[in-house]
Amino acid sequence: MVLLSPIFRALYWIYRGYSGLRHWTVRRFTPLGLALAGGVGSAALLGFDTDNTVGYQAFALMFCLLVVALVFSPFFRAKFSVSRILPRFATVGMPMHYDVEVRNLGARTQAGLTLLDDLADPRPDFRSWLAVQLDDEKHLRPFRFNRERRLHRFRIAKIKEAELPLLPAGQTARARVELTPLRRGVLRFESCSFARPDPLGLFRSIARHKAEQAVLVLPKRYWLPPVALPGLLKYQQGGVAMASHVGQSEEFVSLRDYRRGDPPRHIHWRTWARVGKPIVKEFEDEFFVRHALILDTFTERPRSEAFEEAVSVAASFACTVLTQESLLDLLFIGSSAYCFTAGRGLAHADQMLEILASVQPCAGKPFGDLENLVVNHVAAVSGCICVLLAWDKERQQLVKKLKSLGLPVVVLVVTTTDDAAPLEPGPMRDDPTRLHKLEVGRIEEQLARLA
Amino acid sequence: MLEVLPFPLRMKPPPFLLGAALLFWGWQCDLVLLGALMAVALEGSRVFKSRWDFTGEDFRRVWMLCTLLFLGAAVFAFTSNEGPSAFGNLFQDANSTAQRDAALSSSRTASALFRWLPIIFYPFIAAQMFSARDTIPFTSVSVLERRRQRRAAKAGQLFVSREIFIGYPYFATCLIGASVHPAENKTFFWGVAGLLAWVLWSQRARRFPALVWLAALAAAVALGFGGQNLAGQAQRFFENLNPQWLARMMRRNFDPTRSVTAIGRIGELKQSGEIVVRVEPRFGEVPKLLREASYQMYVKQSWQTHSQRRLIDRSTGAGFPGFTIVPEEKPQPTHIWTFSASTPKPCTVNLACFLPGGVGLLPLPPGCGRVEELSAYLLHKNDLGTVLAQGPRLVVFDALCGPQSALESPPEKAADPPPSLRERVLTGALAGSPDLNVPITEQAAVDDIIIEAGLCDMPLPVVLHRLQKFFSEKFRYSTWQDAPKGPGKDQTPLSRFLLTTRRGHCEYFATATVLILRELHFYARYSTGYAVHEKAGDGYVVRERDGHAWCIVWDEDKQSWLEYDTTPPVWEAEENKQISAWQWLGDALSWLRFEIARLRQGQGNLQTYLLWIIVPALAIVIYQIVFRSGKRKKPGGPGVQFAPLLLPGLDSEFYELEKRLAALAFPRRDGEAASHWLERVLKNSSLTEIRSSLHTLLRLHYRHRFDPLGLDAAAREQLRRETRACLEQLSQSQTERS
Repeated sequence: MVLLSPIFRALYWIYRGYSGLRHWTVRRFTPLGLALAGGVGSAALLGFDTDNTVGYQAFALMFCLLVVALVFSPFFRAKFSVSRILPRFATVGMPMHYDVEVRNLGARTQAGLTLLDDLADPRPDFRSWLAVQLDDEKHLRPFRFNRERRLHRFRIAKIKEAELPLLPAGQTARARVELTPLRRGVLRFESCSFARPDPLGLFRSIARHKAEQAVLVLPKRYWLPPVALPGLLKYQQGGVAMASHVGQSEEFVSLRDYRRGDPPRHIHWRTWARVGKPIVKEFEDEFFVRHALILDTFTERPRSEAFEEAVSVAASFACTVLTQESLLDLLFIGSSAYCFTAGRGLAHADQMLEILASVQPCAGKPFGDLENLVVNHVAAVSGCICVLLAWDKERQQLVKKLKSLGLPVVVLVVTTTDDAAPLEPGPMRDDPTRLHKLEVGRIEEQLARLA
Repeated sequence: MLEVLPFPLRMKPPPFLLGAALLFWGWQCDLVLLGALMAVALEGSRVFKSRWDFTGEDFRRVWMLCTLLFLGAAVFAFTSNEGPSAFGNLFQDANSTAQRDAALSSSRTASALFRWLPIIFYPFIAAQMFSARDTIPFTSVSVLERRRQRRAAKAGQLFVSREIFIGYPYFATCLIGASVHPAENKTFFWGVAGLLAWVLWSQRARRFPALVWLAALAAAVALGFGGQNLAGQAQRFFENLNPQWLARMMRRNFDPTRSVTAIGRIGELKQSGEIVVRVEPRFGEVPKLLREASYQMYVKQSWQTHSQRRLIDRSTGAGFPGFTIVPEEKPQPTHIWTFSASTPKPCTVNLACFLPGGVGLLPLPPGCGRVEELSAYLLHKNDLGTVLAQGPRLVVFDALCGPQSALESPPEKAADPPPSLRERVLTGALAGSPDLNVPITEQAAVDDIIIEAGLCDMPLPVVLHRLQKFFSEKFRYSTWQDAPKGPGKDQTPLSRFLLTTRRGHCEYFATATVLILRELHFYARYSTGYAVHEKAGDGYVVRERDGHAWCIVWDEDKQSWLEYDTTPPVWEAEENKQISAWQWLGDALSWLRFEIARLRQGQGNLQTYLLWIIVPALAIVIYQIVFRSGKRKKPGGPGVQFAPLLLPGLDSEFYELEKRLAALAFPRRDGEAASHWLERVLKNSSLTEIRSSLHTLLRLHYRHRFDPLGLDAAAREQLRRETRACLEQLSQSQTERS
C-alpha cells in the first residue's frame, strides 16, 4: 500500500481535476456553447485531412466563435445581497423548491441572469476517497456495471438553474430553485452565483456571492403496507411518562405507604423523614404496545448503499409505526449506544427522522455492543423489528437471543443485488415468513409486498 | 453540484433551418436535387397539418431502421472501398504501401459514410416532423434508458423518460455530410457561417443589443476565415508523426523440404475434421488428389527433398533454398502464374485455401500447368513440383491442368551402370539418382515383397497392376498401430508393416510403394496432399483428415509422372468413422471464417448476403412501422412481463371527476391538496347542486386512498355510483348551458 500510495494520490488528483473541470464546464458554457465546443472537437477530427474534407473550415469558424465569446467573460461586475428561504427539512430523492431573494446592490439594471446555487464542495479528502476506492476493489466485481460504481457517487444533490427576473438597481426579486437531495444529512449551501451569457450566447461570466446556509436532509422513506407488527400489550412501569427513561428517575405519579415487597429503591426518603414512616413512590402503570426498531450499523464499508437503504427502511417503519398508537424505541450503535423513544406524545416522527438523518456506519466496534443494548431494553418491549445488514452468525445469535426471551421478531436483511441466494432461516426457522430479504434497488417493491 | 444538462434535448431549431441545412448538404455533395427534395418534404410539415400518431415504440422502430441502414451503409462502404483487403495486407505485411492502402481505404469509407448520414437518418427526422408529438421519448433511441425503464417497471416504480427533439443533431449531421469533399473554394465556409449565424441569432442573449451581437459574430467570422490557413500547416505537422505501430507479422513455421511421417507411431492416428481446402470445378473433371509437396529421400521415418538444408526464416531475407521464384505473367487484375511452357488442357478447378501466416504450400491438382486469379505476392517452385506461395491469409484461385503439363521436373537419371550396394554403403553415394534411392535398412523387406508379389523383371504397367492388387489383397488399412512385440520387434516400422503387421495408414502404403518401385528401377517419389471426395453444394470440401500420401512414378513411354495410390480404397470410410456429432457446427464456423477471410480479401459474397439479410429486415421494420401501428399490444397481454405495483386508491373514480372539473376550467394546482382544491372549486355557483355529493365523494376518496383498512364493498360501490351520478349531472348542466 505504501508503494501504491503515490499512484493513488495521482489518481485522486486526476479525479479532482476531472470533476472540477466538469463542474466548471457545465457552469461556464451555455447548452449551445457546449454543443459548439463538441462541434469544434468533431470538426477537428473530421477536418484533419485538409486535402479531402473542408471540416477544418468549420473548425476554424467554430473555434473563433468560442474565442470571441470568451473575450467577453471578464467584463461582468455586479453586486447582490442574497438570502434563501429554505424549508426545515428535505428528503432524499424528493425535489425541494425554495425561493432565493436577491437584491441588486449595483447601479445598473440586471437582465438575463441565471442563478446558480452553490453547495459546499462534496468531493471527499484523499483518505475518504481512498477508503471508498479500496472498498470498491474489495467488494465490487471488476468490469461489471454496478449502481454503486456510478460516475457521480459523491454528488450530494442536484440543483437546477433558475432564471432571475429583470432586476432594476436597488430592487429585490425572487427566483425559485429546485433541488433534489441525493444524500441524507446536513446539506450546506456555500454561495450563490449569477451567470451572464456573452452576446453570442455561448459562454457565461460568473459573479459569486457568499451565502452560507444549511438544511437537514431526511432519509428516503418507502411506502409500507399496513404491517401487522408482532407483540402484545405489555406492562410499562411508569406509563408513557417513564417510557423514555432509562434507569432511576425522580419523576413519579403519587406517594403511598410502604408495603412489604416494595423495592427499597422506590422509597421516597425525604417524605419518610418528614412524616416518620416509610413512604414509597407510586407510578402510573399502563399497558401498551412498545416496539424496538433495531438498526444494524455495523459495516466496514465507508459508503455502503445497503446501509443507506437500511436507514431508509428504518425511517419508513419509524413513520408508519408511530401512526399506530404505539411506542417505538430506536436502538443502534453510533459513537456510543443510543436508544430513542417516540410515539404517544413523547416524540414525533420528524424527530426520529432527524436522528436517522445523522446515523453513521459503525466501524471498529464489536457487534456485541448492539446485542447488549438490545438485551437491556427488551424487558418492556412487545416486539422487535430488526433491520440488519447481513445474516451471519452474530446477527443470527442476536435474533436467537431475542426469540429465547419470548419476543416476536421481524427480521429485514438488506443486501446488495449480487447476493442472489435466498437466506438460510437459521433461528427464524419456526416462522420464516417474518424473515425478509430486501435487495438494494428493489426495496420499495419488496417492502410493498410485506403485507 | 449543478445538474449536468446536456445539449438542450428539447430545443427546436428555428423554422426552415433544417431545410436550409439539407439544401446546403445537397449543394456541397453534388446532390442538389436530392437535397432539395428532402428539404421540401421536411419543411412541408409546416404546410401539411395532418400528423401521424407515432408512439414511442414506433419511433424506436424507425430508429432501428436508421441503425440498420447505417450498419449496412458502413459495411457496404467498407467493402466497396477495398477495406477488407487493404487491412488484411496491413496486418500481414505492414509496409508503407499497405499502410497507405489501408489509410486510403478507411478515409474513403468514412467519407462515403459521412456523406450519406443525412440520407440514413432522414426517416427519423421525417418521423419527428410529421409526428403528432412535439418530442420523442429518449427511450426510443437509448438502450440504457430502456433498461432503466424496464427496471423501474419491474420495481413497480414510476418512470418518466426524458424527451428529445432531434432537430439540432440532424442539423449537425447535415453539416458533417456537407464537409466531406475537397476544398475547391470557400463556399462551405460561408455556408456554415450563415447557418451558424441563423442558429446563434435564435439563441442570442437578449441582454445585449443586436449590434453588439453582430459585431461579435463578424469578429469571429473574420478570425475564422483567416485561421483556416493554419489548419493546413497543422495537418502537415501531424502527418510527419506517423508511427509504424501497426507493423506486426504473425508467422508459423512450415517446411516444404521435409515431411515427418507418422510411420512407427503407436496408437490411434487422429486428425481433425476442419475444412482446409474448398474445391469448385469450373471445367472438366474434378481431380481426385490435390498435391502439396513431393519428396525424394526417405530417412528415418521422414521424407525429404534432395536438399538437406532446412528452410531459412523469411525474415532473415535468405529466401527458400531449392526454390525459384515463378514470375507473374500478368499483373492485376488477372494474376496469372505459369509453371510449364506447354499449354495445359483446359481442365479447370477453383481452389480456396489458407496460407497460415501468409506463407504456405499450394494444393494443386496433378498436371497443373498454370494458376489464374491467384492474388499472391510471390510464388516459389522447386524441381519436385512443390509450389510455395507468399500472400494474403486466404488465396482463392483457378488451377488449369492437363496430362501434358508438367509442374515437376523429370527424374534425375541414374548413372549407367548404377553403383553397387558396396559402393553405396562405402561412399554414401545414392543409387545414382535420388528418385531411385532405397534405404539399406528397408531393402531386405522390400526385396521380400518384390519376390512375394512376383514383380521381378515386369514392365511398369504390369508392376503397377500387380502391386495394387497385392496391397489390396494382403494388406489392411488401419489408423491403429500396436506396440512392437514378438518376432518383428527389432524391425524398422516400415519393414514391420511389410512383413509382420501388414496394416497401416496411407503413409505406410505410399512409402512402401515408392521404395518397391525404386528397387525395381522405376523412378518414384513420395507425394503428400489431400484426397477430394466429399461433395458440398456445387463443389467439394477437403478436411484435415483427408490429408493423404501417395506415390508418383515416372512413365518412360509418356515421359510424365503418374499418380499411383496403393492405399486400399476403404481408407476414406475408415477416416469418416472419426466424424464428430458436432461436425456441422465446426463446418458452420469454418464457413464463417472462410467468408470473413474472403471478405478481408475483398472477394467475399458478404455484400450479397447483407443485401439478403438487410432487405427483408428493412421490409419487416417498415411493415411494422407503417401497417402495424394501429394494432398495439393491449396492456396485460402476454407481452407485459412485470405487473406494476398498484398503490391503494389509485383506481378511485374521484380522479375522473377531478379530470372533468379540470376540463371545466377548475384545474388543480401543483401540490394542492384535493380538499383545498375542492373548496376553491365549490365557490363557483354553477356547482352548488353537487356540493354535498362532492364532499361525500372526497371523504370516500380519502378513505379509499389513505385509510390502511380501505373501503368496504358497500362504501366502494357508493364511491363508484355517486361519482358516476356527479359526472352525469355535470354533463347535463354543460349541455344545457351550451
